[in-house]
Amino acid sequence: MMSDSQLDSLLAQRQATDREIVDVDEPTVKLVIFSLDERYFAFSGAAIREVLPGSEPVYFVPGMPASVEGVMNVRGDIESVIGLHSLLQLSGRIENTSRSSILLGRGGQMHSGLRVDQLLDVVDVVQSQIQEPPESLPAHLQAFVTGLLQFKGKAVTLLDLDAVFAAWKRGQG
Amino acid sequence: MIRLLPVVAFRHQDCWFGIEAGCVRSRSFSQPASAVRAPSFASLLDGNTEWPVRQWLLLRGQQQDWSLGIQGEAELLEVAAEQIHPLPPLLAARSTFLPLRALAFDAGRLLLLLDPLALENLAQGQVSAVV
Repeated sequence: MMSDSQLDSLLAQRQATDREIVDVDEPTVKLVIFSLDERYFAFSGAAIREVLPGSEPVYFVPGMPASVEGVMNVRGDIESVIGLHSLLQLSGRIENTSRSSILLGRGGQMHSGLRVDQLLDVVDVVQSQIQEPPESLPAHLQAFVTGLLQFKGKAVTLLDLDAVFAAWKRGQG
Repeated sequence: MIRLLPVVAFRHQDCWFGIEAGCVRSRSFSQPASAVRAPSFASLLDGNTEWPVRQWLLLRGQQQDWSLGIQGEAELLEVAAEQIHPLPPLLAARSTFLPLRALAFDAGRLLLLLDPLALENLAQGQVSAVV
């Protein structure tokens, strides 16, 4: 039975709108969102092959920059574990807290674990939500930042892992 | 195919280091008289000459044997080939301690494997730093 009520019309209209949104075939990108020094960053999910708990043992290796935490045993393979505070010029230091995680990243023929303060989420984001980095971006971030987005009310900076590794290898951070 | 690598492992502070056993002629509690150079491992690692030397490893050199003073205990062990890994690429790119060549896990501890030739090259500028 058809109804002429405005509410029904409104709901039908809403349903159609929702269907339109679902049907939109807009490209999405998977992001691994995390915090460092109370700021929010993300890597492309394609660059992060695994997330490990921050409580995994990390062994000190001498003769390395302060941003190297050490190495860890990942199912028989050895992975380095580095921090990004220095590279991103954040004030904090590498800290192994109960909330921290280690992202196993791979890019540009390099790979390493990256300790982050907290893993927030792994999400699919519609590409149009990612904005170009502003020209006012600090110079030290321009080489790594590929975009900005809002996630649950937080400003998230999207980082290029290849560029991060390349800069780190050149001696930055 | 190499399945096991004999290694002379020694402890320095909280780390275990290892040198391929074939490059180590002997171990002694007094400085070998035949060695031309006798730096302490601590002085090669970070320039620290404060650590007391308790044992000496006599190493095969490129021209002559030389001795390396170590602070802690030393032991001979065999490390399974599959437990030995090259330095991860990011660490290889930034390491300031050139003799560090590879890493291995042995009995739940990390073993830092050293290149004795690079160690000798490093030692060449530090003649008899520790007596």
